Amino acid sequence: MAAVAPSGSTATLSIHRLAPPWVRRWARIIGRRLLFFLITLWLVLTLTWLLTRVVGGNPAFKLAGPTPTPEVVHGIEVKLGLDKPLFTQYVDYLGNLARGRLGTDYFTSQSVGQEVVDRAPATLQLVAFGGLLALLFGLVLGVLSALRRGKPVDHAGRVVSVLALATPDFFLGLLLAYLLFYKLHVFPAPIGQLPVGTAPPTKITSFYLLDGILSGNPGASWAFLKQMFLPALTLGLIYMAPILRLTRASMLDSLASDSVLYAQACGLRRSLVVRYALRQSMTLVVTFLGILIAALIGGDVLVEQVYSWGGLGQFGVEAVVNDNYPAIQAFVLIVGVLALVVYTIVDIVYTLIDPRVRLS
Amino acid sequence: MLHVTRSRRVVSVAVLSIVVAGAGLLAVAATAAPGTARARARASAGSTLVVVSPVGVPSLDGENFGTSTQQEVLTNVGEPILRFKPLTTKQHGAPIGSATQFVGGACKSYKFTGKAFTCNLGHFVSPYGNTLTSADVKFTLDYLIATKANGLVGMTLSGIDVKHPITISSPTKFTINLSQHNTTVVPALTFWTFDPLDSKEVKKHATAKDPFARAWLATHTAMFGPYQVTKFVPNQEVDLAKNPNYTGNPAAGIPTPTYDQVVYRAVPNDGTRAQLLCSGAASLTKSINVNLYQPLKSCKNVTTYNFPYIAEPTLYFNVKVKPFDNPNLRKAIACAINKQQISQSVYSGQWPPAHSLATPKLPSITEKYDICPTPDIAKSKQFLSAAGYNGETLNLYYSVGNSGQDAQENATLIQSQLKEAGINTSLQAVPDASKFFEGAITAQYGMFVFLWGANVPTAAWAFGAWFGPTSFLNGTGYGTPQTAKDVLHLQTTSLTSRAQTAASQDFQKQFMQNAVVVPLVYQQNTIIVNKSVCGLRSDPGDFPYWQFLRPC
Repeated sequence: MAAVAPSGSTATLSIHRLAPPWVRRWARIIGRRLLFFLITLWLVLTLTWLLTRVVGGNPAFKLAGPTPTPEVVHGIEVKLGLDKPLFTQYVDYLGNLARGRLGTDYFTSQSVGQEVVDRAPATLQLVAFGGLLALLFGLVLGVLSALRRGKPVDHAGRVVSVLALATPDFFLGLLLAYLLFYKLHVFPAPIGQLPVGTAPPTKITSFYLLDGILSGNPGASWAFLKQMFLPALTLGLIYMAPILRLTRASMLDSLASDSVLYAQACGLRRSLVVRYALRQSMTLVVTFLGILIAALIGGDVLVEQVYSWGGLGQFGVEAVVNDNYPAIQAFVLIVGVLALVVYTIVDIVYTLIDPRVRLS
Repeated sequence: MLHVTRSRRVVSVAVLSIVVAGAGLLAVAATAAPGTARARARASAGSTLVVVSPVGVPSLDGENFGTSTQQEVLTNVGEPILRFKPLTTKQHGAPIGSATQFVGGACKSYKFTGKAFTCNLGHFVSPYGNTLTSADVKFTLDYLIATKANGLVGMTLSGIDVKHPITISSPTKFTINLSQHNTTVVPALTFWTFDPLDSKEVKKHATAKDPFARAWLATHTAMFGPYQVTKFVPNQEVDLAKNPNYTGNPAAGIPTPTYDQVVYRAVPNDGTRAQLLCSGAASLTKSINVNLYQPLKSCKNVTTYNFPYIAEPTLYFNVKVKPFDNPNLRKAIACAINKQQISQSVYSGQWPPAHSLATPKLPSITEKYDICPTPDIAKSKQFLSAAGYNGETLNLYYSVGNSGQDAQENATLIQSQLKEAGINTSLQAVPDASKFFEGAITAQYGMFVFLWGANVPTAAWAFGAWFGPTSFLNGTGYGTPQTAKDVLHLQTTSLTSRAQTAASQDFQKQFMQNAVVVPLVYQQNTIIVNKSVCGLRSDPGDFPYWQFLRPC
């Protein structure tokens, strides 16, 4: 009877048998992660959808102008589909999402998907640059603090990290703008991605930094870079702190580990020993990097407000303030997907770096 | 020794990395500095006016209502049918416009009979080269009626007959028909909602499904005013350039614009806007947090103008919700409130205490009906005893989304002031603005802090819309045959007549003496201008016209 199994499953079975064990193991790992990814995303979207409808207000009131009447409000509700039962609205939303439609912005009448695509590059560039600065400052100071434990460098690192952790990002943003733009005039006005009077580069990738160079307009890229420096520095300084502390702690653990002590006892060069210790300590830092990127996207919201950056963060705030349901959903979807993708990659990288995770 | 040397090498590499990063920062900073200087120079050079706004413009379609910045932009792109007459007398540091005298506008001359408004159009040409005709005005009114949004409400409030709104006599002459006698229509026609569209241009983008080309109007403008939109990034940036065909109305004191360009940037953070203004990187801003007024005074580059708004943060009672149906309880609360303290603590003394139903900006407003202009705890307790108040806790609703952080501060201060008079309250925050608005006008709250305002500076519009007995927006639930009669009088009598003043004051008397509302402070329309910009004037309709501005 076992021989009459459906042909599909037999084929799958044979592929399974044919595939080398490491492919099967990785297929299992990635499959599990993907399933987890989809379930989490669905949960996040459903929860956000419910919260906006239950806690949020009625956007039709805002669209109806300063003196709304019941007829006008109802007309807008019908136009936006807000008069339908909640379950119908939810099913419509999921159906549209499955077809790749994120809906129409209630206030701009533009496709929300297009708005997200337009705004995302600004945020991605800022987050990437801010993250790089955080990583640079955090890793360097963290390693230094560990190597010079108890010395002035270590104390200074500790003070800096405590200060950075205790300072709200919007406050640091305002402070930096005040000192470096307003008082010292060394940075340009925090008035958006490009200064007034500078035309954006020809759109090729939508990333100003690249587009300026690709379209032969490096001036625009340079202007953008200058505008980006203060917000990126704000993000870099804030998110440097946890990296610094984690690197220091992890590096100290590694330096005191049996393997590193053994390497030292064998008379290996100091730089080699430090490299081993660094690699050991990196598993924790890499894990944290995933959290960092997600945190940067979240933290970027307020920094964008301070610097009038006009990216996804500002888009999200505007959406929430205006009960702009499609925009809120799209913002959550994008941030959720980004965070989940990062976590998934980190999970996979983690298994590559640390064989113990792979075995377990 | 070897270990120490290697360790030092690692340290040196690390230090070097930081030095390199720092040097990079400084290099960028050094090259950025001239940019800042250039920006300052540009903002003060005169050709470009840089306006930084707390919110951006979501859509250029006025019927897709968005933000105050959207209204401001459209005000400067369209040519209103009528304009408030610009006066030369100064109030609050700048010349004002008359709230009762009107000039063209799109209408070179006009005649108002009480039931019909007849207009002879002046010569206006849109940036697309089309001349303004009566057909454009008809198209605009048809569009307002068809979209069933903000404009339709405006038409109804000003008494325009929505079934037969307009009769065209010739390409340059038309009559707007009213369904009943209503004098509000004249000031209402200054409102940007009614600014004529260039129908020839709009129709080019219309489709069978979208006969008024709303999809196109969401991102473009086609009007006859002093400026045209040249760049639009929703919620972030709007660039305006002079309409080359605009001639203004010099005889009536309406000039052509001096600034070639107006650049709007959305800068949501108040602190950032203050820095931009003070540094000269921006020319002008509105709606800044009152707590920043004091620091801004130390900035030598800016002038702060405080013009009265047609809006007031007000403590409302819904007289249909128990126990606020008891006038003595309402009066007890009114007498316990210290408006001076609210003005000082919440608004840094910048917004003065309010003693009238609407701001003194409206003609015929009086403060004489405030039952307790200053707090009177003894009187409050007398009212309380007459009300039979037994110490129960009363809910006080507010929403930061309605007026801002001041709503919470107001509510908290009111709670402590009422406590002094022995009145217990519980604060109920409603974070969402539209939810709060809906609750306020549907009798869900008995006592709430509410910011209300009118678009057209007449008692008929302001009182009729917000406190009229049949108005959907009347969150007080208060209405008597007398208030209904007053509203009718306000609508039918001339704006400058004694009858108008009498009806307005009678209406105010009923609301104030029955303590249906307790006005807290007069909201100020604060415009902060860099000193490189001159010519600012206050418009009774609250929306500024940038064509009056010029470099100093």
